[in-house]
Amino acid sequence: MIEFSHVYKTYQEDVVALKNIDLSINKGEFVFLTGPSGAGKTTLFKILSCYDHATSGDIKVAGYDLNKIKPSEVPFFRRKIGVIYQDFKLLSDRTVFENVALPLEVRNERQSYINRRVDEILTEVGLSHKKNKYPQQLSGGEQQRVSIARALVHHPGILIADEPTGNLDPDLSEDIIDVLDKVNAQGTTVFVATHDLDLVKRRAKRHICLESGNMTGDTQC
Amino acid sequence: MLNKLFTHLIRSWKHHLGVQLTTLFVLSGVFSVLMGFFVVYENIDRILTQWGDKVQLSVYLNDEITEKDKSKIQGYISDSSKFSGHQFISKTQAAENFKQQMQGYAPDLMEDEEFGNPLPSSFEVTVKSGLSVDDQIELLVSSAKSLLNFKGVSDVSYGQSWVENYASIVQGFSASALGLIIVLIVGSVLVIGNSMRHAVSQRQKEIEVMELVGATSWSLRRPYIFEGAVMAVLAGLFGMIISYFVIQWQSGLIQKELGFVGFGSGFQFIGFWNICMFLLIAAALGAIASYVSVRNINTGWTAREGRS
Repeated sequence: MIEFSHVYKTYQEDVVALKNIDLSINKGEFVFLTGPSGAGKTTLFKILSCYDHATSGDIKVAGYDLNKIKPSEVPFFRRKIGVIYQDFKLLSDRTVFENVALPLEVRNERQSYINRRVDEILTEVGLSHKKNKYPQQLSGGEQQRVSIARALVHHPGILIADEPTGNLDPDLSEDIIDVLDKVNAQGTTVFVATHDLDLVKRRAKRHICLESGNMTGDTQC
Repeated sequence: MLNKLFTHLIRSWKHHLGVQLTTLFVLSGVFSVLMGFFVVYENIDRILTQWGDKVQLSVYLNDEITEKDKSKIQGYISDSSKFSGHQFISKTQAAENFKQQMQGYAPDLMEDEEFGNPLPSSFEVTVKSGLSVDDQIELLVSSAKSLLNFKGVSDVSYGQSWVENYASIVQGFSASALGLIIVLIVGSVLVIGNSMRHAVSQRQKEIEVMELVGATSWSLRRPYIFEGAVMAVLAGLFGMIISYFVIQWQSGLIQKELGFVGFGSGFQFIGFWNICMFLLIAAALGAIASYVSVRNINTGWTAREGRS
């Protein structure tokens, strides 16, 4: 499902963000990616979601070779994955419903299907009663749930979450990981970056460590 | 599809009302000048054509011309498809006409029995109407040459200097009209393009998010192109209304002050099909200007380029 082989990422020729990354994640796995700030977690996730190019190496995600992908194919690749961002990336002039519906709208789905599917996913994340609210009217935890709902609404095969609990208190963090666990139980591959080692320890999941751009550990639980 | 485009349009107007109204006002002004100029052009062209249709050839005959030679000339004029009509003016009639025209300046001339008639008899020939200025001049020159070859013709006149002045007026007017129209069209494209660029920069986050959830380049550009076309049509309508009232207001004045040059019923506004064409061109201009402004809105990697 996700394969990195000898992947390097260098900025301005002398700043090496990722060094010789080799990793393989199978369909249906739940994997944590940890490491201190500046370890390269966000860089790895940016490459994984076609937000950035790797300098060298092979990257295969959901059947796409990301180092050879054409610009015209990028939108169609992104439709196969779901991404949760630390800063949520919600549109403030759209309601919760409209934000969650975005991935379906860009695929030109029928309005009746959009209405049904968005209601369904908002119920799953526990926000159906707030579908007409705007993001700024929600708490941080609720905004993150909206972001999760948007990442899942189109049934992606892979869910990538970059520090989804970074701005949340411990109780809310556990809630968010519970939601991701539920999604994983339904067959979605989940890859979560976090610097919260306590949270990782409490969950018996595969755990990959990054430090200064190097992969320093891959623990299978 | 149309529903989504209108939703985007309404959202854009709601959130950027100030910019949209400013663009609409500026563009309406530009289009009203464009439309006003077009109406003036149409009217002046109509008047110049009317003047052109009044151009005549005067074929002056020798006093000694025989009836046979006169008939030959008349036959040539009647048979030629270049001319739409002719009238024979005898020496006596020419003198009468002259006296009538000079009555205001020399009232005694009408009673002067010793007025020796130096005026020749002539054919006043009307040339075919509806020709372009260049064709009309060519026709006059070639006809004059042909008629001069006939026995009994002393001279052919068609007001050479007047016709040349008339031609340079028409050509000058056409050239400046074209120049001004090009300037105004380029101005309109820039105004719409700037407005769209502003809209795009204001909505950079939205574009980034849309891109990250899988929107294609075309689906991102389409609403802006539609917005530009609608903006241009609205501005075209307002511009037309403004120019209509200004022209109505000025028309009476022009008719009163310049009626002698043949303005007839004053300025006429353009017809229905010209209005439709004007709005269509405005929509196309708006769409093209928007497309040019947003063609690089999304390359698949815009989010990365804009943010990191």
